[in-house]
Amino acid sequence: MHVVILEDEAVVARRLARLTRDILGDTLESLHCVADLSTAALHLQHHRDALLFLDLNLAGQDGFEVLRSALAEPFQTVIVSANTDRAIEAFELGVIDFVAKPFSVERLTKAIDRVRQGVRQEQARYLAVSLAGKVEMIPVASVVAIHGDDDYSNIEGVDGRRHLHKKTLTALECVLPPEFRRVHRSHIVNLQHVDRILTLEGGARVILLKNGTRVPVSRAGAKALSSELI
Amino acid sequence: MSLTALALTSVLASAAPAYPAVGLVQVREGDDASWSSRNFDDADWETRPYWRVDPQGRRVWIRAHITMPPGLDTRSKPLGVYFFATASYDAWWNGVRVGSNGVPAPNAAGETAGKLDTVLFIPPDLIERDNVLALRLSSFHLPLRLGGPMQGLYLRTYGYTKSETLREKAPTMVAIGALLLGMLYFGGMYFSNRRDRSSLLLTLLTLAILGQLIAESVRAFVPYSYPFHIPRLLTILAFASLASVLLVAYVADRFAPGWRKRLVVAAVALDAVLIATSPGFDSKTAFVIIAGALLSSVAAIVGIRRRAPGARMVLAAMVVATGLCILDGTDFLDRTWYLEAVVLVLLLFWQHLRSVREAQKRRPKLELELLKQQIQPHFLMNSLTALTEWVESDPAVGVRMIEALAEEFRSISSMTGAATVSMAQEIELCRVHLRVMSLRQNKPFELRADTVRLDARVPPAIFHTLIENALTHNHYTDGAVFLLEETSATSGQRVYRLRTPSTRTSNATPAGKGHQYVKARLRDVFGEDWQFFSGPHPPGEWIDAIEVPAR
Repeated sequence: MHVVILEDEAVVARRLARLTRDILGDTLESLHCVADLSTAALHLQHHRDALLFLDLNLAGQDGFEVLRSALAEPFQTVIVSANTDRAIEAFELGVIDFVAKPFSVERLTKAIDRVRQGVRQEQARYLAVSLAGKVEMIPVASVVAIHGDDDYSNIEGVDGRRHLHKKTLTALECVLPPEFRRVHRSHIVNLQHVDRILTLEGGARVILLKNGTRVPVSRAGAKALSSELI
Repeated sequence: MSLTALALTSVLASAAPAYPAVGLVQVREGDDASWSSRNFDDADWETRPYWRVDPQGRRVWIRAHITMPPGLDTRSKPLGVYFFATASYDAWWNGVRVGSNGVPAPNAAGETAGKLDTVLFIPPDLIERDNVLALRLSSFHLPLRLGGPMQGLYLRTYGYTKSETLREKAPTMVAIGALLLGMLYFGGMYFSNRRDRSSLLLTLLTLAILGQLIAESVRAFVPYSYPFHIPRLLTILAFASLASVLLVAYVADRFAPGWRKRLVVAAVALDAVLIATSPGFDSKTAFVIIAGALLSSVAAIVGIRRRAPGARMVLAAMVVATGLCILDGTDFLDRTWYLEAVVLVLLLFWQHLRSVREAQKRRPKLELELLKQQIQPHFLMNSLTALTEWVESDPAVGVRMIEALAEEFRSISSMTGAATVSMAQEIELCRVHLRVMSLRQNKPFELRADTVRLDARVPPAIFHTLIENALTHNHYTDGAVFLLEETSATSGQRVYRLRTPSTRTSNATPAGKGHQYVKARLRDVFGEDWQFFSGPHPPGEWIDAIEVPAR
């Protein structure tokens, strides 16, 4: 795993680094302490298994600005913060975990495990998408389906607009609410927007969304869905 | 026109509307026994209004020809001649001597000074249709020359009594009472807190107005000989000038402390010019009061621009005072000014109470704010996280950090109840905070304060708050040295400058909670008499400057 720590409290950063090394052992591929998000992105850009520890209070600024930008990046973000009263907000924006200061090695292990094992936090209400240098927050309720596009994800909205997200389908799946289902290696659908399952000639199945889009579905996916849709 | 004269005119006018007025009289300098006779021919004498006659430094006669209207009852309501002048005199009614006041004479040695305000009883049998009032006057005992020595000459019913004077004077008595209460209240406030300059100024202001009012009222209660008139007028003028300067000092102190010295100097200079150039005592007195009200308005306008509470109301009071003074003319000094002074004192009294009440409400809020700084999550949780790291990685340092944290909490809690602390305490608090921060950041932070007097007093934790602000808004990769300097401003104020290295990219002043706390604390202790500046000082330095009174 590749880990970056964005934290301006020197001793806290040192603690995060020390404990991360202890927890990940040989599976830690790289570890950097940085002072800003762009440096963090540089270190994590090309790794599928990448994690950012982010402090929400950097040099007196509102860390949520930084957080929104971080969430649009391909890596997963774990907040380490003294201000626990904004944890719910952070989860809604799509962080994988929120670690309150001060923290123990056990609590940090739990956070790292969530990333390693892809445990779903299921609380995101928005997906952060960077668009022409700006971060746009898309409400998950307005998302019909998400389609895999190499290492990116293609988000399809109810309004027909499409947004490219830097995260993989797997990374996004970890934060999405339960009504989002991975029905295929390359597709996630929002159950709220499913019309029915069609069986094509030759037995292949597709999901017909309410907006008319047809989404391929794997055999296992179809089986799981059909019981739920009836 | 004197207070008594006015009072008499207004009250007696309605009781007996038909008394003839005395206006033009025949005047001649010198002395001749025959000039008292009713039938003496004074046609070749000079004719002029009696108030233009000047008996100062000479002996002069006036003869007033008075025609009684038919049907005027002078038997059941005997006639009196009310004469107010700074002169001694002998009086004849139709050639019969009806009285005297002192002894008029051709020179100072011969003259015995008479009273200022006098009444002559005119026996009913002497009154005919056409009458002559002859007065032999002299005035050698005035220490200063007066512009209007002849203040009043009226015919009215004889026997205007003391009780009537008292009834007339009731509003004045109320004013004296109110001013006295105000003075006692503000005096008490001052003696309970000797640093409360506002209360001291208000005490002196009410005292000055009270002095003016008492000097003014003395005339109605204590008949005095005319030479005393000058010291009395001088006393009134002196109290009025004092009140004018004190009013400016007080209003400036509250609303425009930066302008206080200039405004007070301006008030003194303006009063001096007005006293030197205005013609009579009454106009001198009225003008210094107007000058005081105008300069106070300037201070109140500065206050309004600074959004100081109560400044608008004080400005309104000053404008009304000036307006009434101009509209009322001579009446102003006799009555209106004192009613206004009472209203003003009541207004200031009310404002003072309100500000005291607000200060009482503010104090616990500030204490809470100070405690909250210490338990706010960013400080506390980051410190505890760093502490867990030291405990696990280097327990000895962990113990040092626990000690530093404990010391900081102790230091803060010893300050919470206090309105001010010594600079020694404040610097110690800053240093222990920097010790905590050094351990938290594992970098050296230091405060140097070599030029600061340690016994001077400041509100608690203001520099602590500013240092904390600097640590929050800057990213010090290798630690930092903060400099706290004290200098004296030309105005005699203490100036503290906190110089911090700055890594901020934006020059905008963060108007955060820290600055609010500092300002609220300064206001709590120094009223409006402080200044706070915070801004970048290139290259790479940030300056927080605080200016407070030297005391």
